[in-house]
Amino acid sequence: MFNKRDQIESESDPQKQQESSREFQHQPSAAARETTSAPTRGQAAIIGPSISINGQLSGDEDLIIEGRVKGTVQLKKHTLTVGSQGTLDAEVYANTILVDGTVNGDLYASERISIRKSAKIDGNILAPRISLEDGARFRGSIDMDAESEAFRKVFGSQAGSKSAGPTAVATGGGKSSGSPDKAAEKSESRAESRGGQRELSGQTGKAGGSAA
Amino acid sequence: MSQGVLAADSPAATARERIRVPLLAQTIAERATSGRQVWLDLGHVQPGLLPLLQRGRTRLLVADLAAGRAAGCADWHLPDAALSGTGAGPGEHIDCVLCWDLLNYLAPDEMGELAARLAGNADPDCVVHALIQYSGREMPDRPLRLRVVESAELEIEPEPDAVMIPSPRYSPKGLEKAMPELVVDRTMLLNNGMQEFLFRLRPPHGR
Repeated sequence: MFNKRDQIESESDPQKQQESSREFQHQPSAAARETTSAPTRGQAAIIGPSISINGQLSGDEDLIIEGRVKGTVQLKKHTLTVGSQGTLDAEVYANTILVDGTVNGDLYASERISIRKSAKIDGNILAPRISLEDGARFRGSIDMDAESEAFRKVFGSQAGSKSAGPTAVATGGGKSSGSPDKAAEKSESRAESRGGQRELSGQTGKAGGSAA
Repeated sequence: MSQGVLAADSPAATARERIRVPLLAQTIAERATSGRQVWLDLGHVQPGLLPLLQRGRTRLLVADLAAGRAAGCADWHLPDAALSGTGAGPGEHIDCVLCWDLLNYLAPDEMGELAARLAGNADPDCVVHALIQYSGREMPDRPLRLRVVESAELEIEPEPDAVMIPSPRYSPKGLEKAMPELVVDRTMLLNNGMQEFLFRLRPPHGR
């Protein structure tokens, strides 16, 4: 079912990598950094354009999806790339998620999510760092609060502390079930902000989150 | 409704025009760094907004109403899909709404529906930051695409193929009348003929 394949086309397209992207804290462009972190030649499994999967998909290696996947994808220690031909109707849990194609569902990444200009996403995204290219179509919620209960529930405490970035919870947009922790969390953060502590925390997070 | 060609000096025709938006800068400075917040952007997703909001712990909802309008959706002016995810628990309400170049494309009754939706999902301290075409008698036939460059500056994407239509030129009083849940807090005229508004929720007894 899976084939090893050479590097995904978009990764080898230098023009595409030149596309302007916005990354938090004025980091190097997402595309530029992805040349070092995206699945490379021979390293990732590939679901080809003619493949359709319905169910739960999990693994211990990087994966590139160019076909259709419906269900759940779990690659918590690895990178998932949704190629330009890929279509997901799924919840995704991964270390890093790169999106060129179409996603209907929620994306959770313990490290970062990169959304390129050709991407179409209808769902919620949660990751300590999120980059987004102009032109991408997105509807849903964006949350980068790695201190949140929802984030810890998904990835445990290691992910949030490692990234140490401003945090978020993916609950908006009507797709996810939402977290009952949010209300308490918001009340807590408001109380903290009155004392000035939350703002300080956010600034600390910013510095941590800027480390690529 | 008469239609004309796009004026050469209109916001839609000029290339990459930038406008300063001091009320937005103020809102971001005051709110986006103050702990957990929920912001609702009624427009398209803004890559430039994310680093500004990341200074705090803001969750951003993106409704992209203009996409629904372009697709011909009947209720494109209602952000129901985006709002449906906010009811996760008590206390999780919208703190700030971004409503850029949308109100001029709504009839007063549609504005009223939108304001009622927002008020029903908003924190009592919620603010609505809006931009409308003000001085021009005509406007493009679709909302401008505005891009965040800096916290105090937006860039207007050129729309060379846009057709001009008459602008309703809503006044602040007219907007308040159409949206009784909102009250104008501050407003500024911008140098490109647009007007920047900061609305607050009107107390229930004042509606």
